[in-house]
Amino acid sequence: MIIFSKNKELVCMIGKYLAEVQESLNAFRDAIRYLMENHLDEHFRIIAKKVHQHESHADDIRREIEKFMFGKSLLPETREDILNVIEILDKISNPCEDILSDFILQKTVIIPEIRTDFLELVDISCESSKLIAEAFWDCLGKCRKMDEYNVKIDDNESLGDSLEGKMIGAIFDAELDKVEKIIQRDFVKKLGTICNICEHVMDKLVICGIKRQV
Amino acid sequence: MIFILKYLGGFFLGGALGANDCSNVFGTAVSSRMIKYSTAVILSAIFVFLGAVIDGKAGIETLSKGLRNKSSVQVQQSNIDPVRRSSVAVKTVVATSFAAAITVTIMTLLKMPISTSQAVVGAIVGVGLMQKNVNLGGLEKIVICWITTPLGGAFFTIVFYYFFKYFLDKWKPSVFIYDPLMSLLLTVCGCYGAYALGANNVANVSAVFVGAGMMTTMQAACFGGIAIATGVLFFAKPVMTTVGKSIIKLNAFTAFVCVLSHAVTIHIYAEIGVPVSSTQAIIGALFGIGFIKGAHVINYGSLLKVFSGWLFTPVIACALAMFLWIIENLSVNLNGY
Repeated sequence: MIIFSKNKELVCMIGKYLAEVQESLNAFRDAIRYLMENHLDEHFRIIAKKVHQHESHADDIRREIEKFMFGKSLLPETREDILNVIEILDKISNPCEDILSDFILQKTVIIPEIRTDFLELVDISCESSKLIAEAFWDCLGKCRKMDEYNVKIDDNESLGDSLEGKMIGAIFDAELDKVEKIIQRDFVKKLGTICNICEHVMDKLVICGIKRQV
Repeated sequence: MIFILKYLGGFFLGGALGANDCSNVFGTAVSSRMIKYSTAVILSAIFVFLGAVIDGKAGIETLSKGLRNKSSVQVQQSNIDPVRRSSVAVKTVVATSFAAAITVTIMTLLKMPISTSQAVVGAIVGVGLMQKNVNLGGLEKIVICWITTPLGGAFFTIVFYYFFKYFLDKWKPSVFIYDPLMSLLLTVCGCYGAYALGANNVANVSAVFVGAGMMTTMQAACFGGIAIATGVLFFAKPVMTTVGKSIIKLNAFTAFVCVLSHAVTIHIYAEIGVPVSSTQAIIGALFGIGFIKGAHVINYGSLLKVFSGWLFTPVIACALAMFLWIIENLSVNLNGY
C-alpha cells in the first residue's frame, strides 16, 4: 500500500495546479467584465494583478510537480505525458495576462461593436479551460468520458473561431483608424488562442487515453 | 593449471549465460525505463542463485545423465586405462565449456540474445564428432524443446494477455494505482523469471561437472548459481537493449505479460528437468504480443538478427569445440593428464 500512497501528494499537487489555472481564467473574466462596465481604474489593475498572481502560483506548482514526479513511482511514459500536458496548459494563462497588460499599457478598451462577442469568447475560453481540467482527471482516472470532452472542446474551438472571424470583420467595418483596428484585432486574436490551446491539450489527452488502453 | 582450467571454463560459461540471459528477464522492463538497471541486475543475481540452488537439481541430473550416455563419460565405460579415461573426461569438460562460453560471449558482445543451451549442445556435438561418438538420437528431445519453448512463451503470452486485460478493462484503475502496480508486478515477475532462469539453466553450466564425476549435484548447483549471478552483475547490459527495445516496443502491461510468460515457460521446463533456452522463451513471448497487436509492430530486422544468432550459435560452438579438442590433444604432455 505504501507504493500507492506515494502518489496521493502528486494527485493533490495536480489538483492545486489545475485549480490555479482555472482561477486565473476566472479572474481574467472578472477583469474583462469589469472593464466593459466601468473604466480602466485601480480596481481593474487589482483584478489584473490577481490573474498574474494565479499564473505565477500555477508556475510554481508546475515546477514542484516536475521535481516531484521524477522521484516517484509513475511510469516514465506517464510522467512524460503528464508533464507534456501541464507544460501546454501553462500557456493558457499567458494570453490572459498579455491582454490585460495591453489594456493597461495601451490605455485602451474594447470597442462597443465587439463587446458582446468578446465577452462570449471569454466565457467559452473559461468553459474550455474547465472542461480541460475535467478531461485531464478523466484521462488519469477511468478514461471513460474522453470522447465527450473531445467533442465539447472541439465545438468550443469552432465557435471561438467563428466569433473571432466575426469580431475581426466588425473591427475592420468600424469607423476607426488603422492602428486602432490592428490593436483591437490583436486583442481578439490573443483571446482566440485560449480555445486553440485547449484543443491542443485535448488532442494530447486523447493520445494519452489511447496509450493507456492495454 | 588443468585444475583451474576445468573449473574456469564452467565459470566462464556461467558468466556468459548470466550476461546474455539476464536480459530476457528484466530486459523489457529496463529498456522501457520501468526498472533501474542496477536494481534489475542485483535482484536477478540474487534470484538466479536461489533458483539454481533450490530448484536446479532436476535439470542438472537430467543433463548429467544425458552426458553420461553421450560423450565424455562414455569413454569411462570403454576398455581404456583409468588415467587416460580421466584425462579424456577432463578434456571434454574443458573443450565443451570453453567453446560454449566463448560462443555466448561473442554473441553477447554482438548484442545478440542467443540460446546458451544451443551453444552447449553445439559444443557437445563438436567434441562428440571429434571422438566419433555423436548420439543423434539424444538430440531429438533437445530439438523438440527448441521448438516448444518459443511456442510455450507465445502461448502463455496470449493467455495471460487476455486474462489480465479482461480484469484491467473491468477495473480501469487510475494511473496513480496502475503505474505503481505495474512496476511492482514487473519487479515480482522479474524476480520469478530470474529464479526460473537459475533453476532451469544452471544445468547448462555445471551438469557437465556432475557428469564427469567432478562435483556433487548440490556443489554444481551452487557453483553454477554463483557463476550465472556474476555474469548477471557485471556484463548483462548490451543484450538488454536488443530484447527490450529493438524487436518490439512494449508498454508496461505487455512487458509484464512477456516477463511472466517467459518465467512460467522456463519454470515448467525446470520442474520437469529439461534445461531450455530462456531467450527462446522471451522471443516466443514477444512473438505472442506481435500476434495480438498485429505483425506490423515487430521489427523484422532485429528478429532476423536474433534468428541468425540462433542458427550460428550451435555451429560456432561446434566448430570451436572441435578446434579446442584438437588443441588439447596437441598438448597431451601437460601435467595432470
